[in-house]
Amino acid sequence: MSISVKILIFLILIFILSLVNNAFSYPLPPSAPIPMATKDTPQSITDLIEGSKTYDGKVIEIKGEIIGDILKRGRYAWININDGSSSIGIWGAKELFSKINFTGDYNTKGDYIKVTGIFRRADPKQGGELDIEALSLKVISVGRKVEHPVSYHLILITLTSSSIAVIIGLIWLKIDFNRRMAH
Amino acid sequence: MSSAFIKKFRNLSPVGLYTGRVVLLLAGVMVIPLVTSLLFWELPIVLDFLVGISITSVVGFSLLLICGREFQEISWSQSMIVVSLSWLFAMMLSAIPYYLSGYWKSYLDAMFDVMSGFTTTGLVLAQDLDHIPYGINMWRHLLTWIGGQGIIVLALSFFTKGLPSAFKIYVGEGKDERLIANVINTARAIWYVSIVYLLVGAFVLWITGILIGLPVIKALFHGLWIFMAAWSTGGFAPQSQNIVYYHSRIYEIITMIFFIIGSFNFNLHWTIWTGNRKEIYRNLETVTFSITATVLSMIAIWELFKLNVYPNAISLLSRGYYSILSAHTTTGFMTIYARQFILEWGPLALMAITVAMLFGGSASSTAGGFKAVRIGIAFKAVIYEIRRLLAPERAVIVEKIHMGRDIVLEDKYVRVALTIIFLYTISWIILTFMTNACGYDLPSSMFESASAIGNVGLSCGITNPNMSSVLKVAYIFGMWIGRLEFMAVFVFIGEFIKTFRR
Repeated sequence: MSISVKILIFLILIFILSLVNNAFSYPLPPSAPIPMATKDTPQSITDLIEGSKTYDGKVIEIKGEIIGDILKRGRYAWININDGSSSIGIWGAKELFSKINFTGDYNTKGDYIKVTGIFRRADPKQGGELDIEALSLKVISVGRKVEHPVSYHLILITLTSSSIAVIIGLIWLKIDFNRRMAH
Repeated sequence: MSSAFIKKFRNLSPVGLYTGRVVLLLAGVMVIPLVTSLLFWELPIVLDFLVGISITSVVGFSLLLICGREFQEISWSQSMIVVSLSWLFAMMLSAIPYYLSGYWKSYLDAMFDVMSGFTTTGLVLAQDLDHIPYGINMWRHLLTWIGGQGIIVLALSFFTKGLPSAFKIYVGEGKDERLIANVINTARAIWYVSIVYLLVGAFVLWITGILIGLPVIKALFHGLWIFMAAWSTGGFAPQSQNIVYYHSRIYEIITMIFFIIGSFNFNLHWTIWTGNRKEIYRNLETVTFSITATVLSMIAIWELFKLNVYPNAISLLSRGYYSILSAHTTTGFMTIYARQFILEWGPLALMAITVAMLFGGSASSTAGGFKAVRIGIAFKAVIYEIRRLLAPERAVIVEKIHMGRDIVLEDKYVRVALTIIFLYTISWIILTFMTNACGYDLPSSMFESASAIGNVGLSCGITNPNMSSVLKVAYIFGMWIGRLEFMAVFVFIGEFIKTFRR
């Protein structure tokens, strides 16, 4: 069997596995509604992780900026939020995340949201992940595009250092050329 | 100028010449993240890299101007200094774009992350990782990929003709086997194997990334970076949650396959590559790794099962088994949050993962730690001693190890293996006490120190921008000596002390 055939079989296997993964992981039954009156409000995501045994299985409310992308998986989707202390994954029905406008990256400040959901220390539906199953989501402040202006100082440093590098490089090339000619 | 100074300079000038070439090569490599930044129109980052390239070039050309003569034969101690000095220069200069980008709190933090990358450790001090630009992410992962193969190996592969002392500096970087008789061709073979795997691996992760919901372009870059980090057993990832970010079992399985392959000896890769596939079942390192990984996984899984940490078998494998393999191959990819190790894993599971981090992967690979070959040799030496004691006095007992071919186990192999294991253990204990003295509890200190000295990158939360500067320097030193396996750094320090004593 040639190596290319093996690579092909490997890729097909990966593809099938991912389909199997999607098929088994996401058509999840919605969790039974829990009265909102029982919800806890941890101070931060770090607080949530540190107190994971206390909060496990409870309805909690957490705020943070959406970072990365909305990872859509069939009828469900994942988002990740960061509140400055840490990040956490949140999953739920795809429609819940339809009101999101911006997700955070270098050029964008993501929407700042408030999520109410069930916190699980080791979610049996998600391979034991520490996560939140979203029940409701509210955009507190809409994100925006972020400008990254170039400072004059940086331009000046770039020009100066580049010029010195070119001069020293040329001197070395000249010396090296003369040395080679002498040989 | 005194004659002593001139003599000292003459001794150091070949060192400067070799180091200058490595530094210039580094300036060339910085073009890749610069182009990436240009592609995504990240203008401030483009300028950061231009400054980095310029300053690195100035240092490189200056070394060549001061020390520039024809390459000549250098001694073993000089070759060790070349390696140590090149790594130090690489750390200081590669940190320039990091620091200018503003994502690191101080220059020390930037150097910490560079050393963490080059040594394929994966501990991170960067702030706001989730908003880091493409160019900087490319540089982070490129550093770990180059560091895995070796900065010197990269430099050697660019030499077009025979280089005196090439083998000496190759050995100084913690690699001791030639795949091909010529060292320069060996360096090229290592890069050839790595680039072929990179193309296949990045493609597989790209397609998988799209399937799990990443946008096409982002899936491509994430695939490339995650592969670089997996293959080099580095453990960096573009998002702060590491592998947790993807929330996908299939993505986890693929990374696991690649970091296990990446932790194999390049000699083994080459042997399989050139047709001898049975070697994988007979090689001392793969056999040792399989045994230690199985035993340590079973201990950890037993403890996690007993404490009911995870609700089902999939979770146990996805969190427990993955973490043990990530530790044992010294990768550092995380499928759980840092604090969960301390908060949830019981003492036995914590001990198993700490030992796994210290054991590490294969020699002459991208992995760190004691290395499987040394554990195998130490074990064989114990077997040999037992057999010798049980046998009649006149009987000749021969113990063999298989590393590509059968080799008779001699005292010198056992001595070298035990010396390195001893040095790793002592360094780990010292680092543990230092961490403990900074106010962290003992289990956390043992865990984090094993991660640094074994070039792993798993963290239980100690490594963060607010940790003390003394500890940051200690971890930088730990990662450095762990990667270069002590001797090159010891010779460098010895020579440094000698210079100042005179």
